[in-house]
Amino acid sequence: MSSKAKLLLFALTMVMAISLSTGGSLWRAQTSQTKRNLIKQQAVELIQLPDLALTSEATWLRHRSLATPFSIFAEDGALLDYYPSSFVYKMILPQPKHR
Amino acid sequence: MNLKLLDYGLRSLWRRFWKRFTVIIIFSLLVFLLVSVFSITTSLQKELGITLEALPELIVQKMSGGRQTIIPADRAYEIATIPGVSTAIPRVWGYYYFASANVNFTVVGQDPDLESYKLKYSELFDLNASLLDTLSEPYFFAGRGVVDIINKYYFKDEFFFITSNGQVLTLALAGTFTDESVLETNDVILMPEDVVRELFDIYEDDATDIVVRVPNPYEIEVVKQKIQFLYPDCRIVSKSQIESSYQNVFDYKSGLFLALLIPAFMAFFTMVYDKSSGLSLEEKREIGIMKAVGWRVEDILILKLIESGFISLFSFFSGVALSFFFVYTLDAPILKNLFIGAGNLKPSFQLIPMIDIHILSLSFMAIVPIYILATIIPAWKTAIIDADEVMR
Repeated sequence: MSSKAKLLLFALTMVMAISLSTGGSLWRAQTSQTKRNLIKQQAVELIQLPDLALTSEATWLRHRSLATPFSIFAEDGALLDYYPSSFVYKMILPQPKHR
Repeated sequence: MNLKLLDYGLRSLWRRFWKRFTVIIIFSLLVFLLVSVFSITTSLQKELGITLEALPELIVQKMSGGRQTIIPADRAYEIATIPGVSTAIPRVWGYYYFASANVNFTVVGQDPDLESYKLKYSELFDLNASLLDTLSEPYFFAGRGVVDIINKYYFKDEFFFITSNGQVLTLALAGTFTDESVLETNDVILMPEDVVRELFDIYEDDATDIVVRVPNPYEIEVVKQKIQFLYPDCRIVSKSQIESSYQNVFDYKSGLFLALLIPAFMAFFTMVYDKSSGLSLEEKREIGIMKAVGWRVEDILILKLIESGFISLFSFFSGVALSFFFVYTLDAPILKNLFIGAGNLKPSFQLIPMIDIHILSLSFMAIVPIYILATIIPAWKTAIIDADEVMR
C-alpha cells in the first residue's frame, strides 16, 4: 500500500480511536458520579427550592417553576418572559359529572 | 476486500484534495455544532434530573390578584391531616436584592443548629471553623457566587443586610457551600428562620409557601386536588410540573439554536442534492476510462464507497471528538452562554459528563449514509452506460 493511502488510513483510525475512547471515558464518568450527585441532592434537600442558579437577575427566572403566573413585565419591561417556558401553572377545574 | 482497490481509492482522495478537504471541514463543523449543543442540553438536564428527586412533591402558594403572597402558616396543619401527606412544612424564603451588584440573592430560612450542619452536612459546606466555635451572633451560610460578590464589596466574615424597615442586620458568615453544588446553591443564602422573618418582615403566623411531602406517587394528584378544593386561592406546583417546565426551557433554548443551524443544514443538503443529481464531466470521463480498461461496475461502486465512506466517517468522528473536547475539556466557552444568560452572578461550573446515544446516532445517520448514497447512486448511473458513450 502506498504511503499516501497509509497516511489517510492512519488519520481515520486515530480520529475514530480518539472519539471512541473519549466517549468511553465519558460514559464511565457518567456512571461514577455518585458522590457529587449525593452532595447536589443534599443541597436541594436542605434548601428545598427547584431550578438551577443560572440566572438571578429577575426573581422569576431564578425559580422559574415557582414564578408568579403571568409575570410578564413584573420587574422590568425589557426582561421579556417567553411564554410556555417560564410557567408550570395549570388550573384544576372541577370535572363535569358524566350522566 | 481487495487491498489494491483500497489503496487506489484512498490515493484517489488526494486528487481534488481541496474540494474533499472543504467537504470534510463542513461536515465536521455541522456534527460538532449539533453534538455540542445537545451535549450541553443533556448535561444540564441531567443536572436538574439529579436534584429533582430531592424536591418536595408539592409546593403550595397563596395567590392574590394573580400574585403570590404570604400564606397563613396554620394551613400546613390542615394540609398535614389529608390522608397520604407525610409532612407539610411552612417555610420562609425570598429574594434579597443587593443593589450595589445588581443581583438577587435567594435567602432561605432553615432552623438546623450549627451542630447538625457540622455533622450531617459536613460535605455540603466549607465551614468557617474559626468562627463556628465561638459563634454567638446570628450567622448565615452562602453559596460560592454570593461569597465572591460580597468579597468584592469588602465584606469578609460578615455581611450587613438591610431589613425591610431600614435597619442594618449584621450576620457572620459561618460557611460556604462547596463547589459540587454550585449550580444549585450559587446564589443561596441560608440563615435561621427567625432572622429571615426579621429581614423580610414576615410575622410568626405567616410563611412564604408550604412544602408538602407525599411518599406515594399515585396519591400526589389526589392530594393536590384536595388541597386545591380546601384552599381555592392557592396554586399548587407539583414535581412533575417542575419537570415539564425544565423540559420546556431546554427545548426552547436548544430549539432556538437549532433554528439558527437550519441554514447550515440547508447548505449541507444542497451539496448532497447537487452531488446526487449528477457527476462532473471529469468524474464521468474517469469512470468511462475505468470501464474501458476493464473495470467492472461493482469495482467502480466499491471505489466510490471507499472514497465517500472515508470522507463521511472521518468528518463524523472528528466532529464528535472535537465537540467532546470543546464541551467537557474547554467547558463549552461560547455555547454555554446560550444557556446561562448574562449577569453578575453567573456560576462557574463543570458540565457533568453525559453521552446521548440518540443524538450521536441521529447525526451519524444524517451524515454518513446520506453522503455515501449521494456519491454511489450517480456513480452507478454513469457506470451502467457504455464506456464509449460516457467518454464521448
